[in-house]
Amino acid sequence: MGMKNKAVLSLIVGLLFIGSCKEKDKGMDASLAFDRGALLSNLASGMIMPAYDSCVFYFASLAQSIQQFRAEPTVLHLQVAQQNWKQFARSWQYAAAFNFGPAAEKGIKKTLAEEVGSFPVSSTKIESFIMANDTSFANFDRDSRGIFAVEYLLFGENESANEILAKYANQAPRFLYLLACANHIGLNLKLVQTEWKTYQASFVSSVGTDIGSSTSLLYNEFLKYYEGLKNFKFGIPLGKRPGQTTVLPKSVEAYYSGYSTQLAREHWRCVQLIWEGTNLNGKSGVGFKAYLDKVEGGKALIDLTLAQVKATQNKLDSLPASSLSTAISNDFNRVDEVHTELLKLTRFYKSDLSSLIGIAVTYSSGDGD
Amino acid sequence: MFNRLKTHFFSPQSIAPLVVFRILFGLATLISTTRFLVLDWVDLHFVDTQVQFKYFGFEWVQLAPPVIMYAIHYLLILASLGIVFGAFYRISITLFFVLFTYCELIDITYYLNHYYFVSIVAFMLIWVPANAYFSYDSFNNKKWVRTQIPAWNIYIFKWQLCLVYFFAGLAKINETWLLEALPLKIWLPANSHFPFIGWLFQYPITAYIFSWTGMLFDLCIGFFLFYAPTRFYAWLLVIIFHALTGALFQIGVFPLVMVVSTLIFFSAAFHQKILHFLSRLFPYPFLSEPSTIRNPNYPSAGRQNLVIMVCILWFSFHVLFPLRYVLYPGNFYWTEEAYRFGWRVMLMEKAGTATFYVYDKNTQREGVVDNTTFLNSHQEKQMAMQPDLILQYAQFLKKHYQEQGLAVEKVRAEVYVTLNAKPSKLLFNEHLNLLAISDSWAPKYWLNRFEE
Repeated sequence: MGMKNKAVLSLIVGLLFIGSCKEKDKGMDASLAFDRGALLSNLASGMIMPAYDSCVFYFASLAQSIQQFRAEPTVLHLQVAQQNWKQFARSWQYAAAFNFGPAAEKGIKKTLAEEVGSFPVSSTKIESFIMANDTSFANFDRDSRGIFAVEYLLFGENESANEILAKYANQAPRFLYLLACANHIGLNLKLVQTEWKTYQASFVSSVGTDIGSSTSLLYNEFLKYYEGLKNFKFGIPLGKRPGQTTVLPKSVEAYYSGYSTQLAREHWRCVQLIWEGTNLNGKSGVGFKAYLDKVEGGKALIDLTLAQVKATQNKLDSLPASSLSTAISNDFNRVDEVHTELLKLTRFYKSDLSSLIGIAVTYSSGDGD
Repeated sequence: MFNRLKTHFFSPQSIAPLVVFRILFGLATLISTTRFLVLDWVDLHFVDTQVQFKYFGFEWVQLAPPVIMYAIHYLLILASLGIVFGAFYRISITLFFVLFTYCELIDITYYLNHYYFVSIVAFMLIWVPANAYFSYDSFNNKKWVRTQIPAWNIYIFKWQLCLVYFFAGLAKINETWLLEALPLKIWLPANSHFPFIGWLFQYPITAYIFSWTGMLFDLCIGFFLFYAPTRFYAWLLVIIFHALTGALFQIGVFPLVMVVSTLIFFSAAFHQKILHFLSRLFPYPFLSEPSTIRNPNYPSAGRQNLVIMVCILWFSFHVLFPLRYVLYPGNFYWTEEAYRFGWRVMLMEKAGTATFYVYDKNTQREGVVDNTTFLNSHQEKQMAMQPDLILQYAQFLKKHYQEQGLAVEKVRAEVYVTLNAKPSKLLFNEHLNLLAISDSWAPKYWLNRFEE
């Protein structure tokens, strides 16, 4: 028996030894293993950084047009600002998916998406801050600032361009609040964009799968981002929460501009890009799909996911051209069907995906052996 | 037979292995509790929590206010120190057992086999004179000093350890583990960045080697530890095995607990050397070795019989309880009936997505629950694949929404579970009213059968 033990022992020691020798000359067998580093660098350089860059770029145009509108409050300048807001809001959909690392919570500062992307905003709160000429943002009312506060101030609620303009006439505080909101967005975005330049290297090199590793951060935020589409952009406006007694069309994202359907489509597209690994410029790359392709049971999951993605896509495509809030009021079932398909898709992104690729979704210790 | 057992049980043995075991166990719980506090888990598990999932039969165990929960953890540290130094030992170990077990009973989603093990060992340590030597207590009260004790005081820990390993090995003898090398085929490639040997993990053959080695290790290691000629090598294997699994998987202090516990198999002379070394390292009078050798107090024949009977009962329970799974039909990986308290460790990769629907009779509307409103990611993960927890959550939702003014008539759930990389399947019919089902020891016929 002593011999047997020695044999097992020498086998293990031998394996360790072979391992340490071979690593240098052999490296990873590309045909077998999935290279998480490739996924991370593809996402970082093809998706995340371009997303922040484009967001900052479109923000600059928006900020400029707001300045112009302030200098000359005309219908034309208002409309330019509105158009630029829409462009910017579209680009924001992509940046919002990566709400970790530089975008994560810091002290009392919430995540970037919470700081600047909260919706629905409260028009009451916004109006009262304007009334009080308070642009300090020294409060926790995140529904009184950010991208959708700017939207409210530029689009008004069911108001014509002239009516909106009238609100700004001789109203310095309203302009100041609009500018303050814009500055606040720009500042926060710029911070995250800049920090990514230094964060990128450590992001790409953290190739583990435990909690806090880049893959785990990316995946967990991907999931939250997906749930956000399902729960907040469709679920709540559709009145799907227990206890909701009616639909809440005004709770959609971008209610005031009526741009909600387009933004939801962009959100959906971003989910697909991340899963497939496709870059923002359309170039294909390494994403969760390629990861699945290399793991036990992964190919079956790819097929199942794609089938449900297609079913969801069909329902999304058949949404009316109107805003989501209008569609919810007039065409409830067609919006509801999208929500149902999104619910069905959840497990393919949630437990099935994380289980197959062995990503930690929780901090706690598991059962030991 | 009984008399031979009696002779065996009460033959005098050096107390040294038990004393070293006491010290190391105390140190391990000290490290574990400190780690818990440092990682801020008291807050995460016991303060920032809205729902606590209960153990069957222990529904009455309630969460205490935050101040108390923190106090308990500081008391656990004190108790651990008491165990290490053998100070107020009976109080310390009893306090540790009660408080530790209380913390475990609060929320079953944090169940871990090794926490169960710690509870069991702490309970056993209450009944043995682990403070009769090399301790604050024995220094202060010389008449308590013993250098020899009846053998059973040491045997019971060895047997308990053997049971853990043996059952862990037994559980690995199944088709999925041995013939498909699952779940290691999932877990190992996820660790392909591991230093030195990580590149090996991409090959399926590695998963097979690990699966078979793991099974053989667990099954045999107890015997090799018992048998003197193989003991040292067996213990080296214990270190290598636990160091490797500890580095690979997120399993906390478990490797430490097992590595130090298995030292108890070594000879009295070996442990005496450890104590000698410790007394030189820390030259405090109460850690010095007594000059006279004292023999154990021989209990009366009646008490001897009692000890033997209790031990027989205890170990019968610990052999039979993990085996209760044979009483249940179906795949217990899927149903999780009789899964816990069976030393089934790192045995399956399982995950679920559970979507709950609450039906309000007043408005005749059915709402979809966002689980993250109530559960943290760990709780949600555990709940979404364990039938009994799903029932508890349904009851919680009913209570919660009734307090919100809803007339909750039905709670149903769509639960898709993936087991060992197989495509996810519905755990049970999604139209079932979960409020109408109560949990019990009986087989859960409301679950769908697991199909390959």
